[in-house]
Amino acid sequence: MKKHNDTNDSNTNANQTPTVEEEAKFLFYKGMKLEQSGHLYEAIKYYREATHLDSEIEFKCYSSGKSPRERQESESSVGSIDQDEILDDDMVTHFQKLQIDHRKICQQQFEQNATHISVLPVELLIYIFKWVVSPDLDIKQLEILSEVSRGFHICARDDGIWRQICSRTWGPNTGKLRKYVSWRNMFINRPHVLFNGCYISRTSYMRVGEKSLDSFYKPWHLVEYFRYMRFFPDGVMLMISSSEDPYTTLSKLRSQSTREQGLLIGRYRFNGDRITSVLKRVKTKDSTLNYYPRKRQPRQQVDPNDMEQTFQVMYIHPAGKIYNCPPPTDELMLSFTDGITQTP
Amino acid sequence: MYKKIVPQIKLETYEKEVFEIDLDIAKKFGKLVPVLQELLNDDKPLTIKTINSGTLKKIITWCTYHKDDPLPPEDDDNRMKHSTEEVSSWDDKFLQEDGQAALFDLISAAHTLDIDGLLDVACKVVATMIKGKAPEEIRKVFNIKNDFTQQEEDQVRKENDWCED
Repeated sequence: MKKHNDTNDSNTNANQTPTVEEEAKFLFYKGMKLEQSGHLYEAIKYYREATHLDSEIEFKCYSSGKSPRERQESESSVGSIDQDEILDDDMVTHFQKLQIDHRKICQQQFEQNATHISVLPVELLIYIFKWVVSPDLDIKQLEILSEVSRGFHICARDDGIWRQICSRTWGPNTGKLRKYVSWRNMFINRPHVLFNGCYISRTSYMRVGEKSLDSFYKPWHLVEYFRYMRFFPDGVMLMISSSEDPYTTLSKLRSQSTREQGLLIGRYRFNGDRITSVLKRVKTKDSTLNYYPRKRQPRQQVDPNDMEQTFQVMYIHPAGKIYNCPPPTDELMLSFTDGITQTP
Repeated sequence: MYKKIVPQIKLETYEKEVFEIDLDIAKKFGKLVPVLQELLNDDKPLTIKTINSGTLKKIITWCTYHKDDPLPPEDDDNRMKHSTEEVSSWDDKFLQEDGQAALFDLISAAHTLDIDGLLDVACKVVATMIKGKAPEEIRKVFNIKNDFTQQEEDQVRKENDWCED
């Protein structure tokens, strides 16, 4: 492909018409810039054109480091080139470049003859990482894995893992990448619910109490209760209203199989940045026992166990990002317009 | 007296040891399914150089124990969805009793032979070893060298900042 024997630095013939190699280099750098700013598809277009002109362009560009113009600018401060490059680069691309030479995922700290984790091919390591993440979407552990070593970093940033995470978070509404650079980027920046904790909203209101006999005091009751919500990645959600403080209730919402009195269980789904869910009260032995002795209640009252309630849930998230919500014990992250329909 | 003849296939390991495997068990080896008939007729063993005898022995034991398990769903996504339950205590003990190295041998072999059930349960065991550990602990458990430069480590940490509490 290379038509010109002239391998001189481009500086020498800068004033002449550009050689094929220079042209290719120019396109390649343009592609690199685009790739760094996240425009992958456009970047590929430029890369393709560049390799079409000169099939060895990638190697040439890496060996020369920076684009000619930038090199001229930074010639005086040669020592700092490396550092700048790291910071400018996406870490994964950076590690991939370094990793090209040795095919192993990671190195041993101490020598060992027995089989080391590095014998596993990349796809198997990624498969293991998927098991680490799922099914409770343990994102934090995945991010920790990316801090173990360069090879682990590449695997933990694998787009396949993050795509799976996204599709598990938003289900059929996941859609396409569009404005997001990567699936990881989408997960971080798009509003979603957290699965590793419980949403609590504290509600309090004042109620007039019964007048005392001497009409000297006018008692008011300050009523305070909590509404707890727990989301699971598979679309199941639990909700319970209780006056008990978070410390006692939280432990009860740890798993889907919990059967607490007054617990509502149902499914939720995304609708833009709004969540809709249909919840149903869970029958518990306790509650049926309680209802019989209370004769004061009017007969026609619907058995609360059979009521179905639809809740429209909306986020309040000023930053547009749910992930930086305070940890579960903080109050009020969601507001409700609840009890819209109550059908027997 | 009538003796039931069980059809068997022959596999040769890295150490050139020949194993005779019942057809029922061999059916679990996804990779071999298309060539089973050939192997049955053939008297010469099939050589699999990447698998050593110890590992193959373990695989046979595992497959015998799980002979009657239903086949796991085909695609990864569904497989993970349906397996929220813990690794059974038999599997856990069986996979861990020979240490980490044997476990990785087993994972590679299960991958080579395409035994999804075994691969999944073994990966799950490794995932459990990873869960709840900090980077340094993970390096220690798996004997992994920290090949980050200080600057790289800082940069990676910065990227992961978003999920810190």
